[in-house]
Amino acid sequence: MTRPADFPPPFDWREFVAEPTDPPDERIDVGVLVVGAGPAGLSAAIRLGQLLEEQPDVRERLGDVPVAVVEKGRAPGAHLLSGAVINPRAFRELFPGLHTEEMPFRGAVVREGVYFLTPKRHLRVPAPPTMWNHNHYVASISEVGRWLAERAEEVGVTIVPETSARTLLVGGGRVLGVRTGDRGRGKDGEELPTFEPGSDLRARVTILAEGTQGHLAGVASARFGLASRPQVYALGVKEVWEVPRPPNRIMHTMGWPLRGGKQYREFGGSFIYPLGEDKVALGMVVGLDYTDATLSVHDLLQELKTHPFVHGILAGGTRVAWGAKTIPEGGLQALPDRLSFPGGMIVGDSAGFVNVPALKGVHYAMKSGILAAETAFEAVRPGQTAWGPGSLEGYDEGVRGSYIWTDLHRMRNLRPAFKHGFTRGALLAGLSLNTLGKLPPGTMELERDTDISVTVGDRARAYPTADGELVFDKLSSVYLSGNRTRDDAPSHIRVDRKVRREVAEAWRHMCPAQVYELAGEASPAGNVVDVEVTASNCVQCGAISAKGGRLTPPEGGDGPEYALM
Amino acid sequence: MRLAVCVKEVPEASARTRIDPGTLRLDRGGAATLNPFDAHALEEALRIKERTGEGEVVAVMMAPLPAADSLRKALAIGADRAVHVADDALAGSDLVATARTLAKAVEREEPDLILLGQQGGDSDGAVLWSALADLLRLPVVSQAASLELAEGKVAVKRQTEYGYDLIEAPLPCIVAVSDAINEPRYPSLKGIMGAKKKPHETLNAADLGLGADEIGEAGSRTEVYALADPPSRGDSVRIEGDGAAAEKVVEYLTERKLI
Repeated sequence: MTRPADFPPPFDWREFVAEPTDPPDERIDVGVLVVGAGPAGLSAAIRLGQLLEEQPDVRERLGDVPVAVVEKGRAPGAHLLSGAVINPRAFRELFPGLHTEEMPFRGAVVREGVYFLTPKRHLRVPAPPTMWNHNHYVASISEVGRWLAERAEEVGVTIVPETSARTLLVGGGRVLGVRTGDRGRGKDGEELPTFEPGSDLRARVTILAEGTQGHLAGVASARFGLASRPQVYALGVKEVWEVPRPPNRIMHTMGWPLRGGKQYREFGGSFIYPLGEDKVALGMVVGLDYTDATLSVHDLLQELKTHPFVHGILAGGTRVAWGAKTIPEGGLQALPDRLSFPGGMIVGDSAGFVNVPALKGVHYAMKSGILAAETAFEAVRPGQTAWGPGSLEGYDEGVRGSYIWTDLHRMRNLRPAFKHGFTRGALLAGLSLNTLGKLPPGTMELERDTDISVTVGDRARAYPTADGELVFDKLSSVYLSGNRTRDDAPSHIRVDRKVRREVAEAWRHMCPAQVYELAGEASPAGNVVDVEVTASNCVQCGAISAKGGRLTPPEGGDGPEYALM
Repeated sequence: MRLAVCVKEVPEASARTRIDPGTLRLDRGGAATLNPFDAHALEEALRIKERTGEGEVVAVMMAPLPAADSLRKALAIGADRAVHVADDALAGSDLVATARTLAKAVEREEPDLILLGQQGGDSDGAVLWSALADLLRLPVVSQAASLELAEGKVAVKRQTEYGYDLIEAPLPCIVAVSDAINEPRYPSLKGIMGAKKKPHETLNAADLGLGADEIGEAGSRTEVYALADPPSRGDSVRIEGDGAAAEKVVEYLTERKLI
């Protein structure tokens, strides 16, 4: 038994909770602060902007900057990645009267196919009803993010890019805002000539919309005791190709190159979506509870592209974009017990609003943002105190009364079923699906990804060699992500640097950006080895946080620059 | 002391630059950013202002309207004021038409010193400063690795292949700075949040008194007939890192008498 959980990272959430320290003339006050410019955070900001336009008296109370969004990426969209096939429901709610043609989509889903792959063949299988995508739209979530940011600015929202929210400001038992990260520190934390210290950013309400593996969402959860059950994650690696003729349908594949046996616990598949007239988006997604330490989602995607079925789609094309991101897969049973706390709320992927069997999260993220905005708006009205006990609980009730909850409740037993391997998992999942979640009764529990024992298997033997045309190595992928993290920046990754070889191998293979290497000669399984960390390669996908490490926010503006993801 | 800094917007380093086959111009539809070379010019202007304890830094840009975000970034970093020349009629301007437009915009500011980056991060063009100097009839120094202000003049250490030229020029003049001159600062949070409130003027060609025949394709002296990818070299050899790669590289170079 070698579990990543046996090697916890040197991380203490208390390091990221502080009282405000800036003198009054230095501090920055805003009305409502949103952390993260993704679909959830921007929907919250837009909804608030709309409500404040209708009620100028409330707006007046919130000062010069009624709504601010801080984003760690260089610009909104830079750190967003999704398939994505979007259910436009939340778009319609947020922008009533807006035609679908005016929404930032690349095309309606006209046809779709689900395929089971064997090493050489593909077999079309009936799509489970959860995966029917009629009236849904293919989009690039980076583009959606940029578009939403423009809409937010139109309703008076201030967007602050390349700024990471590092510390939760807490005073008097409630959240008072965040402290932003310093910029211009050297490898050992020393101040370089360009050093620019972070600032206290104070707000009446703080909405945490940091996406998957939210840093401050985790800190808030620990500080206020919000969650009692573990979240589980999958890692998705995605490429965009320019091709002569994109397929005429969206496609999902199961089976090869993943292995079906119960001992492997390889749950996942691929997606292949036409993106406009000349591009195709494809990606591989695998649950991080797998057992073979040599599994690499990056290399499985490379292997997938060598399949005749997939190779045919990409023939004559060029890879134009690459990225990676984790997905919270736990569904209902992994949601925090409470989504609000004194002075703040958690929305979107940071809360875990993802419907795995339907492969959907964007509209839940947006819906949760809308609900949080409406709660925040009520709380900042004259005569209200946003930080009183329970004053933001309306958000918890709102989520429970919405389609987010209904959908996730129906699907609650599908993902956990697959710990029994593919066949039995599929049967249990089918039973649950066909009874709208009534059978099997009860709720299956999830195991934390770090509690799954890993062994060094033979997965890596099958990975194809990079040719720079169809198959790529990790470093060329990182380059294509536009990652411009400073080489001499302090490391934002907390991991135990001395771990058993199985765990070190798991990190080395799992990381799609080649951040982790084993130092020294190969040593037998069970021995403790040194782990070398190249933090400047990191694309902040979050996989390491799921598998025994902990990401902290890097310097604002660092990391990938996704434009088409 | 009034300092004008000419800035431009370029595609993000990660964006694949693509030529629009219809117009034969760079497709500027994707993610874009403030030209990294111009950040050095802006930084130098801010340092001069800080050293002399007075003055105003004006960022001047000619670009389509959406590029306002990059100009706002210049304001976030510390420019006091921004002038944005945006006009559909400017599309397709070559070096001559661009310099003509910028010269008009800069002239209005009556600056004591005009600073530019050494080159555009997109086209790698590095001559705009000389065209601007010609139109404004001002002295110009390029590749400035350091810059000192003295009474009514600048003293510049100009970087060359063999060392440094020490050049003095009377004000007003134009200096194109090298990217070794300084390390640009980060925008502060206050700077980013305050950028929207700083003066940000948008002008069109008519505001600058430019006629339709002076700008865009009509005002350009070059015409693009065709564009093609550079021919493949074909004879490249890929040596994989399998532990013995260094020896193979040495062997390869020795064989060709390159070392």
